[in-house]
Amino acid sequence: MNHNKHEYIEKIKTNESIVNNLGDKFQIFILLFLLVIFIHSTNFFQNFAKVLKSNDAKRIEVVYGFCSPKGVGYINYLKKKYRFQSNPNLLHNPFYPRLNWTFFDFNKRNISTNELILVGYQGHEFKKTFAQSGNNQFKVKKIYNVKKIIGVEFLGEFTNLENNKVSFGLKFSNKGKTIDKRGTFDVTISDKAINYFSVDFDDIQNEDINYLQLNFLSNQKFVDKINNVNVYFENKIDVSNYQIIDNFENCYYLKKNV
Amino acid sequence: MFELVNILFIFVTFLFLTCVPFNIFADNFNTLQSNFFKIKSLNLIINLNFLLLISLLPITISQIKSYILIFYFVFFILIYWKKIFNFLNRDYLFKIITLFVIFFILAFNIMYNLEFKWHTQIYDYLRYLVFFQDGVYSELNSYNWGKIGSAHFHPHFGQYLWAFFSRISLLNNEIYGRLFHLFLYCFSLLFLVQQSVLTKTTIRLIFFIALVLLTYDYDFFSGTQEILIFSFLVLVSVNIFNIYNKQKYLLDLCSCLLILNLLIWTKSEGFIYGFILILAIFFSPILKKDKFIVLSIYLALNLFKYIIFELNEFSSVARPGLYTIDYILNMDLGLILLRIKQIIFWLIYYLSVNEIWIICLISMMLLIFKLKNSFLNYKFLYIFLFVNILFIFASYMFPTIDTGNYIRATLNREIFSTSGFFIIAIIIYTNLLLDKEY
Repeated sequence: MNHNKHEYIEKIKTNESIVNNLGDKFQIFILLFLLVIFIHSTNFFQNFAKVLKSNDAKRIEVVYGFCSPKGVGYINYLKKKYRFQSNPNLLHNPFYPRLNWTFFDFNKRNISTNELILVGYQGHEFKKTFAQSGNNQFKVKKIYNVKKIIGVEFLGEFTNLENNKVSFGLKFSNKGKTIDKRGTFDVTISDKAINYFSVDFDDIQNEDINYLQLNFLSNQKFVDKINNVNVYFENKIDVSNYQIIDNFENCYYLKKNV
Repeated sequence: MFELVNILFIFVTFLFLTCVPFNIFADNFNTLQSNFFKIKSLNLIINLNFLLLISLLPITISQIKSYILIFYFVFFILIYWKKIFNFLNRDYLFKIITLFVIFFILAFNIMYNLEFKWHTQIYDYLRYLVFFQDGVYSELNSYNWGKIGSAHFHPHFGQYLWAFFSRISLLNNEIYGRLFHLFLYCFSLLFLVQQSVLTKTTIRLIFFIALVLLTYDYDFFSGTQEILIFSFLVLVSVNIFNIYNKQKYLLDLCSCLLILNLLIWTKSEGFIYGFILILAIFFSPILKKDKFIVLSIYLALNLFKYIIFELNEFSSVARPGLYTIDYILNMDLGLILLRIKQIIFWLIYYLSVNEIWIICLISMMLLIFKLKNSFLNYKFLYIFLFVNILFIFASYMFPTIDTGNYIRATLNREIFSTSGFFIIAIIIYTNLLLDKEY
């Protein structure tokens, strides 16, 4: 059995195959042809020129953007300009991977810090516009760094609905955990085109929300007349409480006021 | 422009690793029916094991790198000073130049793209930074990584290599560390095509470029460890092939064990791949005594890893809580069926979008019809395939988390890394196809 096997393998090794007998020039042609396809498919000349023309920092900016959406370019700029004495805290859109890798210095791991980098800061107060997701449901996705919901705004033609009562609930989900706050809010409508109601909903604090849902529990007439729903949030960070060391658009480098 | 010099420098450094400790032109290896690529592969694997050992010591990269470079340089001069002109051999030069050309083209692709994948950003790169910034292995546990990234613990070897070669490069940039992944990938495929019955260098190189065209994807060079697993499996597939088909298999058995060691220190799944390889060796026609020696060494290597983890207070489980006995015992039939459905769906999907897998599977099917009596010589491919699929089912059926997302996030990478082992099926099939008398 073993003898036959080795004889067979030797036969394979020694036999001149049809392909081996192809002309040398033809083989070289095929090799070069494949090489050309390879060069083309990997964008070699473009990559080559861009790598030689622009430095790492610029190429990183092309990939991640400077301040928006991920802010890696901005953090690299800060790192170069300010030469961090510690590893600053970082707050950014948690729906992207954490960006600490851009500046983390292992040798400074035990130094406490009072610095904070904010990327994609949405303002101390900001609003999100909800999209209708059902007959009496409105939804918005991916909200982060929120301290609480401070107001809800309904836009539409509500002329005949003055003094009508409406109740709605808020529900949010974070990493599979759903917290239901149905029936928490009862409001009375005015006939203005914009109905704004102050609310104080802080169950949402410190949660990175996959989706926030507003459900109307009564008054379908009112729901039918809504064109838009805006919800107002208070950010958990107020930059005015910090010393601003650097700022570009909605990216900040801050230091805690002592 | 300095990038060009650096790429050349780093490529030559990588080549050094394939030239020592054994002389690739030595005559004594000819008696073992070797070619210089086989010795090169063995050298590379030995050197990687050497670096693995160094990575476990409390020595930083900056403390050791100069000594290592000098050591290799002196070693190289000592063993090649009489045979230095062998490097100008036409066949050797042609292969190395092609290797360099492909490496050079892909290096610019990686250097331009630069983007890290999610897993790299929250895990791999932070571990890389520890070594790059002169931390040592035991210090991997000295920080609460959960604060800034993933707290899961995985083997470190891939990140150590990344950091080591970044520090070796002239520009001290992370990208040159990742180029080692590229070198290993290119080298393993070039080594594989040397197994072809096609004796002409040009045709082998055509095969090589075709394989690179089929398998290259920037995503796998963005800092994740799958490309290392892929390359190690490509190399080990040749060794297993030789163990099944050659009478003198000692060299291949040694290479196989050394690669097993690298696998278990590269990714947690490496332990499973190692186990499958041991299973394949167990079904091979080698002596029973050798099989038990291999099994003992495999167990000893795992025990060594376990002891190192315990000494450093690392968790031996990469993701504690991902699999629990209680959860598995209490799973209902509906959930099991749902998960089986999910796994089958995504497995078929990811296999069908992976060209190399499709070609490998077709080759393996054709081999069954073509091989007839000599099927047993290639059964290692089917053993690996069968156990690997079992492993995929087991790993995605029982976790405590939502498997839908888990499969989508990881199965693609798993499928790519194991495809490395099956590429040899294409070579075997072409060998048989081109053999006139078969």
